[in-house]
Amino acid sequence: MKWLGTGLLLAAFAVIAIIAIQSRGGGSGSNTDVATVVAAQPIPEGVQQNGNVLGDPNAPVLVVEYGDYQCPFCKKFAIEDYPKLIQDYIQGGKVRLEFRQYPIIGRNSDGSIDQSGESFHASEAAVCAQDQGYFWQMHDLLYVNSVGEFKGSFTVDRLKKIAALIPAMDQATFGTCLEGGSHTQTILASVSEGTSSGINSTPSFIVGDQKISGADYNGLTKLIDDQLAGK
Amino acid sequence: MLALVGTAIAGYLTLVHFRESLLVCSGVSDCETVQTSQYAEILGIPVALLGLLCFVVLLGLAVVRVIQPERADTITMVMFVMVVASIGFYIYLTYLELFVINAVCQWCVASSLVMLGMLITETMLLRRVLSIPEE
Repeated sequence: MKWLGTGLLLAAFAVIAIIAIQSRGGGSGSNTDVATVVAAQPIPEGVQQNGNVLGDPNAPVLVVEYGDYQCPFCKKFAIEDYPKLIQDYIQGGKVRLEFRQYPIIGRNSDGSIDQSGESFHASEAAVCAQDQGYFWQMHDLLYVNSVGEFKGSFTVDRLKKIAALIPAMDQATFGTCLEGGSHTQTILASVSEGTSSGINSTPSFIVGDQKISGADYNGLTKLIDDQLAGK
Repeated sequence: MLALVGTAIAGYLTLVHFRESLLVCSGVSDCETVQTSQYAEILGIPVALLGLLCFVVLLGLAVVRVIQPERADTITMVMFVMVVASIGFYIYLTYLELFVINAVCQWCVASSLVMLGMLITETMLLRRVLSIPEE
């Protein structure tokens, strides 16, 4: 009996060691190194951009997304599902996608938004890029270079490095915008408006009068298809 | 009872892993960071699912131990080994949360505490088993 117990214990620790070794590695395939910044996939040709709206302005269905650039699930959706959404609905002129800032990660204990936090800075970077017509380029770069929550993904310095990956954008103007807090009220208003609409997590989507939360592409496309069928 | 609680927690974590509608950031916890880290899966299998399977097996063994008391000694030994192995793995996961991922998910902590509780109970039962002389 004792030898059986000893043998089982040894086998158990061997299994733990094997599992521990095997659990290293893997990863999402996007940037996981805060020391570097990487480029994003280019936006497919022919897809229109109008500020924070992607797609044909006359597309019959509007999908509004509320996102936080530090949220791993928003990143998952951006990297895995955006390309499908573009290919299946946006390029065909069925859907236009509007992204609204909802930087809630790291909010204060009283529920107020942390205006000095990385999520807020990332939102500011996106809106500053939008000033120069590069919202979606910046949006994609932010998600690709998001390495996790509170890990230094979106310090002001790193945001400037990310912005440099859009060489056509005036970097000095961008830097002034980012550091000057030009869009603080705009972003706070976006959060407030989202919360008033019943949004309290990210990513969240509004299609018509329907809301859906989560990195749930199938759920989202069902709402889109229902809207298209109803028109 | 502890195995039942552990099963419920691990079940929830597994559900979150697979149900895309639950993949949300609420801004108030680090669970999303932990659950989307590269350490959330082993050989493609979610850690939460492995935990669920472990708790389900422990729950099953606990039930059999009650139904078939003549097997209680052997079952206790097997459960003890499983719990010790699990605790070892939980220590490793906690190390990852604290020092590598730099995020702590309260559900993982709860699951660890349940397993710790099981370690205490199974140790007490094993001591009783080992105090019976072998025939």
